[in-house]
Amino acid sequence: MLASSDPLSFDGPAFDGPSSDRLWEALLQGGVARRPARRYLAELREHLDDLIAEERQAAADERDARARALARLGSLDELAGAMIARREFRTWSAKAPVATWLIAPSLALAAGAALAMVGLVATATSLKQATGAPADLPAWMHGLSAGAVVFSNTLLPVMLGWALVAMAVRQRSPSRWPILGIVLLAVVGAAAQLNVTLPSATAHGEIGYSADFQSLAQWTSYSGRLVLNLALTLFPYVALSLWRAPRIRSA
Amino acid sequence: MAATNPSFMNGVPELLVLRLLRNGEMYGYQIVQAIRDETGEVVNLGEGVVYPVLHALEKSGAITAQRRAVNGRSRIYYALSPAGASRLTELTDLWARVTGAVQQVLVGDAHVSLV
Repeated sequence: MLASSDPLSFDGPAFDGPSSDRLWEALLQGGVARRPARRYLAELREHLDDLIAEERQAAADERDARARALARLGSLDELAGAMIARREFRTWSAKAPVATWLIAPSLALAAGAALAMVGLVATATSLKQATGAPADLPAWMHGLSAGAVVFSNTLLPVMLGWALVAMAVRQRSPSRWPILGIVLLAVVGAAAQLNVTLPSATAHGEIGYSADFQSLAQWTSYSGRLVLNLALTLFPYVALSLWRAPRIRSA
Repeated sequence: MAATNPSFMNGVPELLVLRLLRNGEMYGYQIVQAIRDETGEVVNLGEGVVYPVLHALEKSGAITAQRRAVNGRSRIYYALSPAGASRLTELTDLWARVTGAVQQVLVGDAHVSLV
C-alpha cells in the first residue's frame, strides 16, 4: 500500500474508476509501461461493468451500484500499487535509469558518428578504386562529407536530446533522470566532434572522432555548441514540464 | 462489505489462479468470484488487483490469454499452459510444506531452535 506522502497518493476527488486519468497517470509515474497500463485499464473497465451489473441485480440503484462496484474493484492506491510493484511491467527507464538515460544516449551518439565515418570511408575508397589512379574526389563527395559532419556534430546530439524529451514526457519520468541525460548528451555531443579531411590526388585523407581542448578557440567553439545543444533540448524539456505540471496535478 | 486482505498475500493469488484455471479457462471477473466463493470470502481482495497477477503469469508463460466475444461482450479468457501446470505442482508442494510447518508451530508440537 502506498503511503499518503507518496506522490502517487492523490489528494484530489474520490477515485471514479479506471476511466479516470488519475490511475493512468499514477501508473505511468510509477514507471509502468504504456502498453501493460493500457491493457490493465481496459480489463478493469470490463471488470467494473460486470460488478455494476451484479450490484444492480442486488437491487441497488445506479449510483449506489457504481459506488459499491468501485469499492469492490479497489482503491486508486491498491490498483496502482499492485501494478507498480511488478518489475516485469516497468519501463527500462524505470528499471535501469542509468543505462537508459545516461549510457545509451552517449552510445547512440558514438554509434551515429561511427556510421557516418564508415559511410564516408567506404564511399571515398570505392571512388578511388573506381578511378584506378590518384585523383581528386568529385565535388559531391565534399558535400556528402560536410553533410556527415553536420549530422554527427550538430543534428545527432539535438535529435537524441529530443528523443529523451519525448521519452520523458510519454513515460512521466521523474525529471532528475531526463535532465541529467539531456545535459550529459549535450556535453558529450558538444565535446566529441567528427573531423574529416578528404583524400586528394596528392594527400591521404583523415577522419577522426575526438574531443580537443588545446586552444582557446576550441574551448570557445565547445562552449558555443554546448549552449546551443542545451538551448535546443533542455530548455524545451523544462518548458514542457512546467506547462504539463498543472494538467497532471489536476488529472 | 468484508475488508480486503492486506497486499493480497505473497504467492497466494498465483497459486489460487493457477489452481482455478486447471479446471478450465476463465476471465478475470469469474476468477475473482471463484476465489471469493471457494475460500468462503476468507481470501478477499480489491478485485482489480487480480489483473497484475494474471498479466505476470501470462508474461511468464504459465497461462495464455485470448480475447473472445461472448454474449455480445468482448472478454479476455485465461487458460493454464503446460508450464503453468508444472508451476502449479511446485507451488502446491511448497504451500503444503509451509502450511504444515506453520501448523506444527502453532499447535506447539515443533521444537523451534532460535539459535
